Amino acid sequence: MKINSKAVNICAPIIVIILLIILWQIICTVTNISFHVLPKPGEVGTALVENFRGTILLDTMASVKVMLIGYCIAVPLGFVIAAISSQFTLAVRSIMPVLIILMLTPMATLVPIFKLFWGVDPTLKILIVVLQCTPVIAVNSLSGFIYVPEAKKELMRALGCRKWESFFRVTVPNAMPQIFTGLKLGCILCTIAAMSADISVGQGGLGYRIQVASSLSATDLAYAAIVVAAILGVALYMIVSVIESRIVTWK
Amino acid sequence: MSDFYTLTGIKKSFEGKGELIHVLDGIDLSIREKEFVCIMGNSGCGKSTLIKIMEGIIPRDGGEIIFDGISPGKQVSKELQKKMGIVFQGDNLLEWLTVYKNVELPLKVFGQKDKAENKAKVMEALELVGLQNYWDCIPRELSGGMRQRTSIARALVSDPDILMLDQPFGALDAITRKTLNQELLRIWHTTQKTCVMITNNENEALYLGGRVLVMSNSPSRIVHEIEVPLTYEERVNNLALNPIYLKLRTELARIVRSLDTPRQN
Ligand SMILES: Nc1ncnc2c1ncn2[C@@H]1O[C@H](COP(=O)(O)OP(=O)(O)OP(=O)(O)O)[C@@H](O)[C@H]1O
Ligand SMILES: [Mg+2]
Repeated sequence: MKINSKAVNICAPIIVIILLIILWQIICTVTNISFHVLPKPGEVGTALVENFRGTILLDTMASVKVMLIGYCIAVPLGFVIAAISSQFTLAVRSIMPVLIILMLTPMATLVPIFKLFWGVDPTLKILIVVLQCTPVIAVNSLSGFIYVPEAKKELMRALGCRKWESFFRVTVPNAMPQIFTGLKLGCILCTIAAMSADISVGQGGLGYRIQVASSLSATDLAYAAIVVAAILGVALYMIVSVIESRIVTWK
Repeated sequence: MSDFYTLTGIKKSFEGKGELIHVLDGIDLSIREKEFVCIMGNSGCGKSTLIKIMEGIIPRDGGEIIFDGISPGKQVSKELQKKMGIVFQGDNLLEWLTVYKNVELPLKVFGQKDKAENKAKVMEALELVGLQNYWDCIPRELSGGMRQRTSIARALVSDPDILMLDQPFGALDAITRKTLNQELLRIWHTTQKTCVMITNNENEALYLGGRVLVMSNSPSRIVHEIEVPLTYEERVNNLALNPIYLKLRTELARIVRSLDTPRQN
């Protein structure tokens, strides 16, 4: 079997995950660690199945909603911020550092402050996700937009291309790899932001379930929710990766 | 044969570190319709700068241009650019587009929207360079020679009046280069287009050029002009044994060698 074949690419990580679960099981059995600290994989699985209808499904739907709406706002917003600022050298210089600072700020920390003004509003979670994802998408797109090889600029000038036309014909496709880097980092931050927003805002969602379950010592349920949250993050990331492999075929 | 593209006293300097670098010091050059002109000169003498001014990629500081009876402002305009086909120093293809879309690009930018008509033009240009079966490839899947052929097709697709080439085959191996020279000569012969080509290769210049112009080191002018009175048939048949060619090659080699001593100012 070739080391690069599709089957290997899919099977290898699955085997590693199974091995990790077996390791988890072994650690629990050998060390006899308390159920409240680390339940066995089987127990987490049971908790997941038993609570699926009652709580997990609703929490998952709530989280998916926040993540998707937030992400779908952040993507065009980040893109437009990058597109506009790339047209002005001064804007690139001044906005880039700000975006980087925003990107590194954990936005869930703003929740207590927002709560003071608006009370607990469900859209607060979406706002957190948007604030967290937009800068990373903008920073990466912008760094793609401002680097266009001189020869390509000359080609567009030789054809008498207008500024906006060369932006869409050359700058954007040329920046596609960086744009997708931003979109994928956005997936990661989106999951983290949604979970931390759940925790600090409350009112349902997987993050909220994790918090409540652990405070009630229902550790198995907490782990079950964590597993689902991880799956959501991975799923979002994989969807974006598949789109990337369809679009960026020339690399 | 009338003068088709005329440059008089073209000057150009660039901002260097704190001082102006004078690159072009009054280039006089006149290209006749349907001729093939080759321009030679040492590296850094301003060949690319000159052709970029002619192509409207950069503005000139001074001097006059008359192209097709029109005298454009500081920078050659878009309307005039539509009459030019440009081949760059590298192949300069857009790597995310197929061969077909790369060749179609000038038509799209020039606002020609008729799909069927565009398709006919693109396929005709691809046939001219022998790539009609590769229209669906992306540049990464092509050899260097094929990429350069694609960029020649892109330059030809809009049926320009003049073809401008800046060291188009400089990055290719000797054998591919020779093949592409033969193809370019055939294309010039069949399409009857005016051609201006920059080259650093004396054999190439004499094989293709009806005239060879030689630039001095920068700040540069055109300091030599050689007529190459060879017919198309003479060029394609045993050129290496042709006494006129051999004599001119010796002369051109001597001229090019004499450039190595910098010009006194
Ligand atoms: N945009 C620019 N800014 C500053 N200096 C420039 C610029 N473009 C060219 N030059 C300078 O102008 C001179 C001529 O450059 P040019 O590219 O025209 O040379 P060339 O004859 O084409 O050389 P080569 O054979 O190596 O391609 C060089 O000294 C170069 O450093
Ligand atoms: Mg050059």
